[in-house]
Amino acid sequence: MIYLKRLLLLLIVFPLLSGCWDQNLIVDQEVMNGISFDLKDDKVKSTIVVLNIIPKGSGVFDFNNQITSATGHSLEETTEELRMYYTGPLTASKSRIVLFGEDFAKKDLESYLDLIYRVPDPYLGSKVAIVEGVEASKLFSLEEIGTDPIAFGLYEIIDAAEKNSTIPKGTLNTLFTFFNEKGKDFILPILKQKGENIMVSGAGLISENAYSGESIPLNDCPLLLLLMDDYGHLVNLNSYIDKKKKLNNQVSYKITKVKRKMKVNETPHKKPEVDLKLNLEVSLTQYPGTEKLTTKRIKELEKVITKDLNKRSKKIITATQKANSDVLGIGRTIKETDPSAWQSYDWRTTYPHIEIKTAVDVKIVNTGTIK
Amino acid sequence: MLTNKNLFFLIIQAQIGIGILTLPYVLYNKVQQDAWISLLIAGALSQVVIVILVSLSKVSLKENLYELSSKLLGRFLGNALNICYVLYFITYSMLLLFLVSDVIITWILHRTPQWAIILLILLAASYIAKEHLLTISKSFLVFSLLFAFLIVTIFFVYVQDVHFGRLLPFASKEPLQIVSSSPQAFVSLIGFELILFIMPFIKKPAESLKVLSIANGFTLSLYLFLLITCIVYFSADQFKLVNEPLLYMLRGLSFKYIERIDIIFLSFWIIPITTSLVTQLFTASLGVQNLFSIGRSKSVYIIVGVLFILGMLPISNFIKESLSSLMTYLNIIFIFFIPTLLLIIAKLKVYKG
Repeated sequence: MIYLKRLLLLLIVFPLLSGCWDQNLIVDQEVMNGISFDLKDDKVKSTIVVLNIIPKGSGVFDFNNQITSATGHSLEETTEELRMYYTGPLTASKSRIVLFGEDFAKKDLESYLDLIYRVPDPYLGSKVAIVEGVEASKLFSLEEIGTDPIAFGLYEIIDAAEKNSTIPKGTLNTLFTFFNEKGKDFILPILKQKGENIMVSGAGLISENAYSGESIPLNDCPLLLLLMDDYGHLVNLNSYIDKKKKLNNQVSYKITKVKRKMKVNETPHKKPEVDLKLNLEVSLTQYPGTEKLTTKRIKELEKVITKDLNKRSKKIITATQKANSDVLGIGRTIKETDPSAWQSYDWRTTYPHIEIKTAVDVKIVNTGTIK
Repeated sequence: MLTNKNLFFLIIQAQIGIGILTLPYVLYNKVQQDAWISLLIAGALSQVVIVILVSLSKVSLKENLYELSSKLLGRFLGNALNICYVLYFITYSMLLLFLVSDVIITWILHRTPQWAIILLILLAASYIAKEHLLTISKSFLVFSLLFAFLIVTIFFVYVQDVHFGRLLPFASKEPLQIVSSSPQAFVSLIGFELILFIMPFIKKPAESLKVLSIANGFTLSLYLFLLITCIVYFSADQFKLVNEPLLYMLRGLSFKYIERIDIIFLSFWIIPITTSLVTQLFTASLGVQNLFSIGRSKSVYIIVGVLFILGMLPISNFIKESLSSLMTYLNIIFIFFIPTLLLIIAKLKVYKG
């Protein structure tokens, strides 16, 4: 009798445990790996890459990208059309990369991307980038980067640039945080197609959640990240030894220690003044000379590098002010330390005109494995 | 008989539950970066309430509140109060079920009907709640091991972009505003009212105050840690948008082999939520047992049946919201005001007699 009871119980329990309503088998789903948005004739053009993996036996796989586009007035409208191209339900739960065309990036991104944050399905660890020069969807048609499928390759390219301190760490998730942060703007990587290859070509300055059109060139990016206090594992910089830009005339160095101090001073005429001090300890990685580096020569080099970095940081700050992109988070610092002053500013109109003094100081602590 | 260790795990599992999923959102919308001060005040408040509850249950060590109330208030009034308490526990459980099933539907099981989720949770909860108190506390001890894993998961958030400046400016809101939002936080800390009903089962009643205070301290520090993590993680306006900050925070985390930590976290967090339900079922069934003199495990099944039928009712979001705001007041009345009143009556009786 007791066995019969248990058997009956099991029969009731089994259908309950299998979760029949919400089964989403990965084999049935069409997983989009890459998504791009462009603006075309006042409409959004969404392009997606769905990766089909074709097993070829004995652990070897081949892959095939299915790329489709749709246009519409909103993201959801385009998704509805895109669904019609695929053999199963579309899901963004494993997307690797989200690309914005230049025109699309100049719109208020937060309001366009609302869908991604509202629905619990999309994966927020995707990397985000702006594509310059060509339509964002064009990049997908390259099919692969090296041996990686395109979407994975783009992810890796951006990941590598983050490690090299060209751009700060960023995903769709951090973007959502930045969108809603008052008094601080952010940076997005800019991708460029060169022949059959794709490269990160700089850092795009974002102002009011839209791309300002201004960008910081590649060789100044690490310095910008140092100023922002948001750098990665490796920070490498170059400077010309004397003023002439000639062949083999650059000293290169790796930053080993950073001390950054930002101070916001109130002035009576409602315009804050900012003092940004950056103390760097560097280790030489390249010196175009055959002589042994003497203490005196090192002191001279320190002076050269310090002067160069000071000049360049001034240029960077001017660029951010021109783009009205407060990437240093000066507004946020004021908001946190002096809330009443923050209330009195209209930060968007104030930021381009405030005075930001940068002072970089460089000390060479190491000359590498040779003197 | 319950040892101190058993009591500790009973109380923390009763305290920790669904409250923390939405608490950061609720508090932040009221007092922004000073939310943690409100929570601290609520923690102090619950410590005061614990002192009151323990001294009330020490009035008679051999009786639980249902027996004590008729003794203090007379048969009629005492029974009326007992009915109120049972109804309160049932309402509380119902709200808890609605909230947890809503969260599960929005985050994981989009197409599963609500009644199915409610049924599954009720089945699991009643399975534990019908057992003897010692068995319940031992199973709670096993479940508590999960907290270690969940707290470690939260630490990974700090690898991401957190900004400690978001805690500034310090204490800039009106003190009155900070204090007035602490009842909201207090509600998420309750669960220690269990002591009123389990005093007869405790081995060393004299040490119960100490154990309860430690348990409250543990819950409070866990909640503070989670709340502060949310504050430093979300930017100001973003925080005002997300309903369940704790889950949203984990949504962006990714590791090489595991993604979507939020869903894993929620699947595990259902356990502390269910244990809160178990304690509610336990106290309610004790009341039913006392009122109608039927066996306790049978009363658990009766209550579960009632809850399941209530769970099938088509209840709109508006009703749910007004129910949750009503619940805030009910919690304070049933956990703070009535016990205080009873304590005063008991002291007066001792004084007279």
